[in-house]
Amino acid sequence: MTQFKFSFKNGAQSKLALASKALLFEKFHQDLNEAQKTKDKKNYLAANIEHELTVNHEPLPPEMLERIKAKLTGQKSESLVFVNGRFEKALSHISKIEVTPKAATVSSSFIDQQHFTYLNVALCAESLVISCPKGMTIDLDIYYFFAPKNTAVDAYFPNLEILLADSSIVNLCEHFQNCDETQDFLCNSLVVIKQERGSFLRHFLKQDLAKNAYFLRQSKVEIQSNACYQAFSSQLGGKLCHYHLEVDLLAHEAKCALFGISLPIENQRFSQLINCQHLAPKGQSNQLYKAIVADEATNDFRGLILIANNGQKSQAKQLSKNLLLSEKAKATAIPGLKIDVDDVKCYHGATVSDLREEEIFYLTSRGINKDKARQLLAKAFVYDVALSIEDLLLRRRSQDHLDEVFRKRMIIHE
Amino acid sequence: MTLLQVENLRAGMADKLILKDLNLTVNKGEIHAIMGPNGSGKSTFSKVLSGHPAYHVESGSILYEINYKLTNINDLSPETRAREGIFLAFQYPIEVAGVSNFEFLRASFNSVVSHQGGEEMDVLDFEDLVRQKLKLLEMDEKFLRREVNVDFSGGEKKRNEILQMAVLSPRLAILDETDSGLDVDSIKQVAFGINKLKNSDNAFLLITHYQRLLNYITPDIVHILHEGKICRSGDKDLAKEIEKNGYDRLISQAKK
Repeated sequence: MTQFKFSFKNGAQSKLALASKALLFEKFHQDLNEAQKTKDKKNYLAANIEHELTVNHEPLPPEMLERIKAKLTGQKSESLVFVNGRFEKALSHISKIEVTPKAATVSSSFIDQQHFTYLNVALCAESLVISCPKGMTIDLDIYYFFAPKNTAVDAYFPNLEILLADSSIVNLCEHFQNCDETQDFLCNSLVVIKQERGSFLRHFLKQDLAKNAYFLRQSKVEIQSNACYQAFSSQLGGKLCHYHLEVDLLAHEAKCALFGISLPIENQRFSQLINCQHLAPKGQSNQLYKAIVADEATNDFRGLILIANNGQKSQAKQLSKNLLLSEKAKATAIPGLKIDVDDVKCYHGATVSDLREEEIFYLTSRGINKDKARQLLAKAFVYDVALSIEDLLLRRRSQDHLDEVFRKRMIIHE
Repeated sequence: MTLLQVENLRAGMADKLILKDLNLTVNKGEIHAIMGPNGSGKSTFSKVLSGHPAYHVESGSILYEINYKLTNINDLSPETRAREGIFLAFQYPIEVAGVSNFEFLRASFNSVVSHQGGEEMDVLDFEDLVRQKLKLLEMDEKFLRREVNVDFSGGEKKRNEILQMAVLSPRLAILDETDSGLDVDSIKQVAFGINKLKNSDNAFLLITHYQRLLNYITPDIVHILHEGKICRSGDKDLAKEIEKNGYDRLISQAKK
């Protein structure tokens, strides 16, 4: 049985001493133990995380903040900066949105792995609510920087709630990055998004942490009628990276389109857990996740589309495609459908494959060497995700991101 | 001068022998049409010539002129054959998303040029070269910005193969059923490109079921491939005869 041990520094313990937090902490262990007992296969994470973590709420020294400030060029009008899980107001730019602290509570429950939510809420330094006002269009960047200092594994718990008022349009970009190559650390990020009627959210998430990071991300998105959530996530960094997204289509004609790429190399272990619940009529959801797994890396995709009793005339699609580039690479893909009504259009599927010989031959028959051919084809494989995004802004952003990834990173390892 | 000399070629895929003692000689400046019924080995022959790794040569040789010498290329990789000037226009070209046609052409061109001892071309010079080729083929510049074969119609894919051929200037171009699935206008466009690219230093092997492509390109020699070997060769009138009488009759005549 995996047990986590935590040590606390700089006031982190006093937060936990609060009865409500202590209870959540207890619930985390209970839920985790329960999951392990029932051999919850989705929960292979726990076995792979260091079991001794340090929770440190110490503010960063000014020189570190200056270094981060230097990295933040070209900020848009709205940007929030978090360093080691703490909000740094001095580095942030806020004009149209409202940012208010709130008591950290478990406001939304997840179908799976609720324990990481308990853990986050119990141990977060603070919880913030970001409110995007009615009818406005907002570009919002959220930067999470990490600069762990302890030789033990530091753990950080950013906790956010994002509220989109009626008919607001938000272009949200979350960037997770290290300040330097650093010590091992864990980031357990929790974001709850609530979209009111007719709102539109484009959500771009880029995780490019150093290879010694453990990254756990829990996102819950609750969508009201005629609102639309479009997301693209990119998993690149970390030794273990888990992306857990749950979307609830709560009211009539709520929509979501979820896209993601995962590119683990060497010994990286990446996973995605994507659940989409259709809880009202005429909801639409579309998911496409692709992973390229190289070397001895692994990728694990689990997904569930759940159409509840009143989800008549829902349309849902879920597709996971995985490309293996070496004999030791491993990919698991388990999409799932649970439908309680009969008037729906649903589709789900998964593939795991190597590059096709015919494709490589096409490129080599043009004089391109085999390595380069494999690289171009791998690029084509994930680029297809960007091309599938209907929303032009999100598509362009994703394409630019993939161009940058392929410029910087050779993902083909023979 | 001989560009390609195939001698007693026996080749196939996995345990299956498909080409059985195939002999063929192609000289520079010639256009050969290889025709044959389904399953006769036409596509296999094109893939074996261009070095597809799924096919193996059991015996015989493929002699190809490199540096004025006929050299056995049986063991050369597909990329080396391409760099030595062998080009295969695919029956089903592959889509490569995220890679522009321009980027793809330049990567191919530079790998061929550097193999031949030349200097890689920078973007601007290469753009000039490609523009000339587009003009020659009367093709739209928009082709260059599009991703390789992504969302191309059947006709556009085949024309894109001809554009690649024009840029790489192969010495031996093999066109594997380039006319299949094309309407008359597209066939004319493809034939127009081939006629423009033909010169006294290169040669073409047109692999086709039907005579219709040959209405627009005049072959010097027409061969009938049957059960993995060439059973009959003749001039352009042989193609018309096939169209008129079908393969069966000609093949049985050849057997006698």
